[in-house]
Amino acid sequence: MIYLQSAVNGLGIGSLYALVGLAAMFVLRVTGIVNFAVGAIVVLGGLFSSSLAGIPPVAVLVLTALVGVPVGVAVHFMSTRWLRGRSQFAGVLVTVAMASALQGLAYLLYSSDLRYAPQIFAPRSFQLSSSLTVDNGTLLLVAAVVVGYLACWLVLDHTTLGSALRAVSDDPVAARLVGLRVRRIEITAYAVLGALAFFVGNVYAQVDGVTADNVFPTLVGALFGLILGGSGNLLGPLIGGFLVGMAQSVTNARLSDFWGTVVDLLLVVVVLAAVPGGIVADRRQRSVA
Amino acid sequence: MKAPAGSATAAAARRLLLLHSTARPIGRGTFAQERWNWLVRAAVVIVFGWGLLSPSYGLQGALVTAAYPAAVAIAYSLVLGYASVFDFAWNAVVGIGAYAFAFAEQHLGAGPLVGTVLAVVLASILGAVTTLPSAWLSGFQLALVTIAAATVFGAALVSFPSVSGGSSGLPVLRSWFNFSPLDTRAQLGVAIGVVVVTGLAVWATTAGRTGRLLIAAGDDEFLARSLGVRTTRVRVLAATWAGALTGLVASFSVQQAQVALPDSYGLPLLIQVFLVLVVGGRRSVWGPVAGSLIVVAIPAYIGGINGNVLTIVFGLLVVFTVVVRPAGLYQDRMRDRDGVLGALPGPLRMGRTRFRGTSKTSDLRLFTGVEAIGLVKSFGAVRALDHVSFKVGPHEVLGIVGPNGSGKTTLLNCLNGIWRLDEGSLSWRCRDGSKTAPRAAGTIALGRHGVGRSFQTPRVFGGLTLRDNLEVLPGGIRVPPARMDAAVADWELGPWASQSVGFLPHGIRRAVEFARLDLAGASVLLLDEPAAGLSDEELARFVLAVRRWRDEGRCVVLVEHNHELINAVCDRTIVLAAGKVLGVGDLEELRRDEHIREIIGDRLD
Repeated sequence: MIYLQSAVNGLGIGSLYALVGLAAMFVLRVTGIVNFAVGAIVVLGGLFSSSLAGIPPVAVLVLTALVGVPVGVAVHFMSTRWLRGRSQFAGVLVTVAMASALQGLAYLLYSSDLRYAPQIFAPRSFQLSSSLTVDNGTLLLVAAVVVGYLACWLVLDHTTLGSALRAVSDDPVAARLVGLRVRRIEITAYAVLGALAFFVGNVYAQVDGVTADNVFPTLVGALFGLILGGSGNLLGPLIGGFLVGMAQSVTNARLSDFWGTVVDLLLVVVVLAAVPGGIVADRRQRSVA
Repeated sequence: MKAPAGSATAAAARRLLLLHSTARPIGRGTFAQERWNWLVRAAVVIVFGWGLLSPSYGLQGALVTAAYPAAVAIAYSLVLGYASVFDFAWNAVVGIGAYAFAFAEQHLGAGPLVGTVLAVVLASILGAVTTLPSAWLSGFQLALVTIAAATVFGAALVSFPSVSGGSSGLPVLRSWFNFSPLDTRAQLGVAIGVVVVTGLAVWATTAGRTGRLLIAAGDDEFLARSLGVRTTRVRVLAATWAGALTGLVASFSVQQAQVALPDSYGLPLLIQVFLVLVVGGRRSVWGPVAGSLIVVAIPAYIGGINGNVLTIVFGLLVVFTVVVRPAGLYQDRMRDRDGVLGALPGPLRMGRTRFRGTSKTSDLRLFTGVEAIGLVKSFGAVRALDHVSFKVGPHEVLGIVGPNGSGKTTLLNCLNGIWRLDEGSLSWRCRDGSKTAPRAAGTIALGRHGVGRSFQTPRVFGGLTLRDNLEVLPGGIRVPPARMDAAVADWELGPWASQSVGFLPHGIRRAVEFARLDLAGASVLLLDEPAAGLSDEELARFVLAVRRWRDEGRCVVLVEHNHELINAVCDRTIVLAAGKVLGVGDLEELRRDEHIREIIGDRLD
């Protein structure tokens, strides 16, 4: 039963990974770059919202998402904007360095204390059965995942903007030739990313609290979910994120935090050796030679 | 561009043409780059020399602080630079070396010798282990997994305080040298020694054939595999060696620090090493030293800078350098890799490495033909190959024609072991007459058995000179210099032989592929639209080469759209459409069939 309870608890951290993974997949789809800075943007968002004490929580949420827009665009202008047509090497190096710089900024502004954002709902627990409880924070995170998934599904797969975003990702030169404003679309994508990431950061800071120490654990968990689930399908990062979060939570409860990290690492290495593309099949196929 | 008649001889005109079509390897010209490199080397020597001579503790201390990251970066350049492996766990590799040294003293009561040996062994093991997933992960996936592995190492340091001393770390009291803390000159001397040893080791490793293989595996893994290079093995060996060197460096740097602390081996260390490599130049020895002087020594000399501010500045600097000067401050001159002697500066050079032996694969085991039975390959709902069967043997040129998307390249990729077949089998005929039908022969194994490939877009190793490109051959074949020169002359590659191929035009790259097939002695040649984009002159040379290959007893499979070329060289032709074989035989006869003519067109008439 303790396993079931920790699996339920893992839904919370799993939701976080799923959301950050979704954000990472969003920029991956549009710019063709796996952006390692996404985790840092989320944490910055959480820290920012935690500094807004004394304002109604719902207003904090809206304000945070709005502030996320210029932050996302700034990150784009300072790093990924230059990466068009560069090697994957440059992409990984630049975004990892950007993540590290943003983490430095978070330490500088907010030190390494655990901070909470104003809570929309007072913490409460629901009894599911005699020994199984779930708190409303977890439910809030799961609800955020549903909202995030629906938003991405709607925008990416069912709007003209979505088709434009995909076109830009698949072949920027051809996209420009057919008249798409590639630069503007990329900036839009990062604006959306910033808002999404700050929104996620706020929810995260309400439920679990954030610290600048979380930048890389969050990123690794989320990207683990992304590659475990597969990046070709919107469900990929969700399924992967929940899997990683729950595996980690169950191991932590049984052994220690250290073993949680080990189990996640092994999970990814082994699953990817078996299914290189991730658990959820990619609908698009790319050729090698 | 035509030479005006009478005003210049044909040879002069030709020279002129060559000069104009020759792309220089580096934007600013080789000469300027070389002068700049001398400047950087001189600056490094002067700064360190001045540090040794000057009485300033501050300067010497700053140089010591810069020397160890420089040495780590030099070792790491084998992995991240030459082999382009995204092993981002290198901070943990440094950490395990440092902790091993301290552990030997604290827990084993051993002296510095045991400590250093333990550091070297453990660091090389961790280097190898973290590179191993590159067998099935690539790019960002590998970066992510290794970052996570480094996190696990960091978490282990905190989680097992009885071994690691927890957050207060392990002290180092006994060491190789017992300097007084004020004797910064002696400390600098040791640090410079460590840099020199690491530098020499990496330089000797990359000067010759090993360097060539590392760059080949790093620049185009796929091409390297098709040439029979065991890329995973190359990468893991490089990481093992780099890890050993890193362990050595770490064992000395931890003596300098006198304590192994968990915080010293976190992500900031990795970013610092990145920065040193990126600013300095990731495929050189002098570069990281110069880079470290700028990004480590200067802040250390100034002192008192907030660590978080430094992290931000360093991170942004990495971005800036990658964008503005991706090759770094110091870019090694592109040269043929002839071993340690050949890499010496001009006056000291003594000659090329002597040629030793040939391929390890016995000639008798070379494949000379293939029989395909009922090949099926699907991608999702698309059936790219639908029960394709054919047979081709020595002294034969088999053409494959068909509209775009008919499965021609898929067929070559299946023959080449890149894609696994869904159904059907391939049976290879060996030179000794036997037949073999490996269930899943990989690209590397096929390459070693004489299956050669040219690609729709020519593939070359951009970080190597043209001649070095021709020296990456299956099974470590070493070509006698005379034969190499002959091949270069045959394909008219002479003027470009010692240049980087990365900047050469299409026709030349194509000729490099052909010359490589020649030198490798490939007995089954899979050519994917080789004639596309060739000039008439180049095409004529290619036709002669194909006929020569056939006369030599090789087996050629030629995918082409150019029916004229097919008619000129092919003995038989397969017509593919939507993954199915429509007909086999002489192309002219096949074209009499109304249905086939409708599909493959009528361009000749």
